Amino acid sequence: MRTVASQVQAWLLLGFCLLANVVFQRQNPPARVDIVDLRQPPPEVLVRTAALGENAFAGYLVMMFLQNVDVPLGRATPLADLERHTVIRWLDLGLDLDPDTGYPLLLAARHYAETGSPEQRRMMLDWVYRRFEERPNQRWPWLAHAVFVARHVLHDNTLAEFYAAALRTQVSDPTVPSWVRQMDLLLRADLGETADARVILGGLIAAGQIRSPAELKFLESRLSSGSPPSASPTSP
Amino acid sequence: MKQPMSRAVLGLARLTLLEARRTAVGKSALAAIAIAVCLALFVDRVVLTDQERATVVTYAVIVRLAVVLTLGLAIIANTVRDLNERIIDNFLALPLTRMQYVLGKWLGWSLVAILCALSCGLPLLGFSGTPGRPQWTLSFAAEAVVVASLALVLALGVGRVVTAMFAFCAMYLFARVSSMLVLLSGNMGADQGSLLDRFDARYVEFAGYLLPRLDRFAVTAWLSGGPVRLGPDLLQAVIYICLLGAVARIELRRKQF
Repeated sequence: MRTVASQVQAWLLLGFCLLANVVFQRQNPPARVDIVDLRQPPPEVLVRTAALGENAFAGYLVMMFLQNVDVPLGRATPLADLERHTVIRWLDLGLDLDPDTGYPLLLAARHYAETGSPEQRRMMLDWVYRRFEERPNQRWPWLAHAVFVARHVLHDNTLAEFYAAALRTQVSDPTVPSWVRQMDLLLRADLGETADARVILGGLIAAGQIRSPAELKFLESRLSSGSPPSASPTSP
Repeated sequence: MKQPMSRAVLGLARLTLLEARRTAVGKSALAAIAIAVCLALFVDRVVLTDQERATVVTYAVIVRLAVVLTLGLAIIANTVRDLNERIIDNFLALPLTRMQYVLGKWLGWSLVAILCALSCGLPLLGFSGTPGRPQWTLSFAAEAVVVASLALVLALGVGRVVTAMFAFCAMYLFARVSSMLVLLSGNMGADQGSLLDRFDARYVEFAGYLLPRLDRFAVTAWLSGGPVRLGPDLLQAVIYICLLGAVARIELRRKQF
């Protein structure tokens, strides 16, 4: 009898402690921050060392942080408020850690380049172009996106033609689809924003460049909305 | 017909396997694998592109660290218990040399480490588009045997769980980053500056020579199409296991049971 009573006491104590913990957590929610302060990224060598040399993993962590930095604890901050020089340093860090990924280029071309002032958008496209020049045969899909953004988001035909010319002259891999080197023909055809986007997206899918369902969904959402994002791409 | 001595070593290895089973080492490793899979699937939901690559990389990084720490803790705790409860004395009372005792324990724990590493490779079968999966698993098995050997020698030498585990973590982490630290120390002035500057730069390099290059094992880049170099890993594993065997031999001669 005494054993049963002591067992009940133990369970009651456990239940009481759990309840107290729940009450404590409810009374002390995590601090919410409305204004994002995207500080300077840590030095690359420090990140490499802290990640025990797992550079690709560190690169993905950096990109996931940057992708969601504007939505701290559910409150969205306009992307335009983020200082673009700092964003570029974070993107550089992600791409330097893992040069084989296209994640930073995707964020730059289709996330950050579609928001903010024309000057901010141009900075992101310039960054995509600079990093494209390092590996044109691998990074051409992102400059193809940049052509689209320059023409239809920035409405800068000269810049779009410049990027299209770079695709024509710098991409030398014979396995790259021919439409990539003929982007200037697409510009001249003047099909309109949706048709251009469909051509580029369809071409990238046919070339096997879009393998992630999340990436396809993200790009299709850009196509259907036709409006620039105001928050994180993962936000509902 | 086996020699009695080798039969005793194999018997000890079998006992070690039983001990690992009874102390739920396998279940702990499976829990580590399950946690790594869950975290990798979470990353799969968050990333915008490279989904399969990001998932595989996350899984490989987390499972590697989790299983190494699980193995280290299990081996150190079991070995220290053998020392504290004088179980080792019972074995040494048999016609068995100290090195044969260590060899039996090492065989048992190495088998546990290999089984854990192979289990870690199984979830990778679900990612058909990922290259380098067998090589990664094999290399991780070699790394697991090296860390199992290191944990065994540290436990026998130090004889305390907390101190041995601290030494194990410090050595493992340093072995993972030693190559980067050596490069950094080179930039700090290994070839120029005052004697003190050169000493600062060189002692990291000297410390690196005492440890294996664990950054070469189970390289995550192999899972994303990077060039695979498995031969040097296996050679490094053999060299370092022999080195640890030599350390164990000296330590056991010195030790009073």
